[in-house]
Amino acid sequence: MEVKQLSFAYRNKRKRKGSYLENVLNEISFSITEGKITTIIGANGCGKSTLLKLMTKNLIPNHGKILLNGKNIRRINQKEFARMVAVVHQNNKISGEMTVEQLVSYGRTPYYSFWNGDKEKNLEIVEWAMAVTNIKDYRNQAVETLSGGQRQRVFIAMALAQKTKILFLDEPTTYLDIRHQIELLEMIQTLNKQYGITIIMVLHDINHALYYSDEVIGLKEGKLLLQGKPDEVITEETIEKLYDIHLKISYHNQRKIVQMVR
Amino acid sequence: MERRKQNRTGKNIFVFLITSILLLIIFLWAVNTGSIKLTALQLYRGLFIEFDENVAAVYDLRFPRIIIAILVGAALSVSGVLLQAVLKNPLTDPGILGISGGAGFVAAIFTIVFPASIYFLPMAAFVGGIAAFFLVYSLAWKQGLSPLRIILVGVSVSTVFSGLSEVFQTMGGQNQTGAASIVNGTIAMKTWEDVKIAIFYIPIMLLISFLFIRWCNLLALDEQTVRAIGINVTYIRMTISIVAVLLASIASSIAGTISFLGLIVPHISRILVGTNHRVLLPYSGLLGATIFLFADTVGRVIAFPYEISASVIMAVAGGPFFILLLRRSEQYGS
Repeated sequence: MEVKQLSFAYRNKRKRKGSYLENVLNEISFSITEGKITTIIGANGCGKSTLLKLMTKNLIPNHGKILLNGKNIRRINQKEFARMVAVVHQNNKISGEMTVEQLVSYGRTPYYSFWNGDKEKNLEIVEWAMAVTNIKDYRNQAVETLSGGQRQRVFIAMALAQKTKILFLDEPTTYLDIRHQIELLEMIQTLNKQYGITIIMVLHDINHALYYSDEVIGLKEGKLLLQGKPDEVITEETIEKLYDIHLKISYHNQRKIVQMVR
Repeated sequence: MERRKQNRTGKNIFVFLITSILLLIIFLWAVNTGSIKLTALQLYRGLFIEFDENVAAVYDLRFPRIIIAILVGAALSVSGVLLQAVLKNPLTDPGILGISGGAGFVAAIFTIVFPASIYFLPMAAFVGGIAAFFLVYSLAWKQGLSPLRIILVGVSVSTVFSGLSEVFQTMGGQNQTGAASIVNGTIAMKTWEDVKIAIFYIPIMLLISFLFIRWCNLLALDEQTVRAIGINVTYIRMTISIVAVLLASIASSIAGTISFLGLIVPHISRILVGTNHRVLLPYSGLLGATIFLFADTVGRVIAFPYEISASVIMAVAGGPFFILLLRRSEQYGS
């Protein structure tokens, strides 16, 4: 996936048509390496979520383009796109009761035509997605009754059922306690290593970004500040630039650890 | 775990069965209400085996309204389920959204202006229904649809339309029974001609609505999640809305404005069979037919020899139910 000179501004809703607010993203260019875990980091309001929305066709860029296998994603229709790219959004809500299995099976939607679908294959993939995310035990339970960690895994399973090469995750660890955060990130890592799924995620915890990603993209005020291997690009200086706070980096088993206190 | 699933299916089959039996009982009751009494056997013989004067009279007088009550009840309830799914708002129905009002208004004008073109009546009603729906939708839209705003706007639009209908009815003269029955929401004067329209349009639309069961289920998810699995949310919302408006408009063009039916039935159905539309949609149709036929028959019995129209029964019984829902729901109660 390639992002080329991407700029975006939200419409100014108070004024008449055609007027825009200040750019949220400014001429951003980078490319995502296939088969790796890429993490997007940056302070609140730096444009991470907007970037994710643009890359997943939830917003249309004002300038620049996003290429997937060399093709502008605007030219790819929604259904076709859903067979190539899956997204797990934040704060997923469901109205009404829905079982885990039912929800996961909706991940097969892009493969259904109006009249039929390959039922057996769909079932098989749903089973696989539930096995990988370890949610088979509560397949018949209603999604609302699950804990935060379980819920998040269910939504990831649904995305996996789409059988895409690329998986986007928007702050997947939010609202989870530390154990569930780490379990989830380890699971994401397994998905990447075992099944070769390209992962692109937004994270707030710099240590998690350091430990669990192959590449880091740092945004500051809508501009690309850094990109590269986390060990190389995350330093005390870049953290200060990204978040306007000075934090110390120490080493444990020769790996960097950002001290999350001053 | 598998067993729980089977239990659910078993329970649903049981609920379907009980409701069907109930519908049959009410049907026989409705057939037997009035000056002529018939036993089930007599009815069966009279219909299928040999001519029976009493059965023939019942066939001409009571059957049309019974069949219409069943079809209209099913149509309005299914329309209610579809609209609630599309708007993600459990407190809407075709009446509250002004669809019935708009459809009834245009239908009333149509019967006054073109009394002979009765077969095109549902089409005319649809034009009114869809216009009212989009009017309410766009008037209530303010960076999203607030459930409360849509109800308020819907009730206002609906009231305006029913007022206008009254105006046209009065201007057209009191003897315009076709228009009057639409405005007053009564199905007492229905004949086999009306049945032909209902039986032509409603079953087709009900079958079409069943094609969208999967989409209705998907709409329980967040919009961005639905989009992520490759669905054009706006497109499916529009399609389902149009089907819902068609169902409600046809019903209104035949039976007039009936309040609360499309609201109450989906709620009771959800309690009985759950929220999966695969079961909910057909069951709401069945329950809607049962309840509306019940309302119509009660109206015939309760003040005998006078008749109270089914829409009045629905309004009187439905109002308190709606208030109860409002009070119980945490989302809109405060």
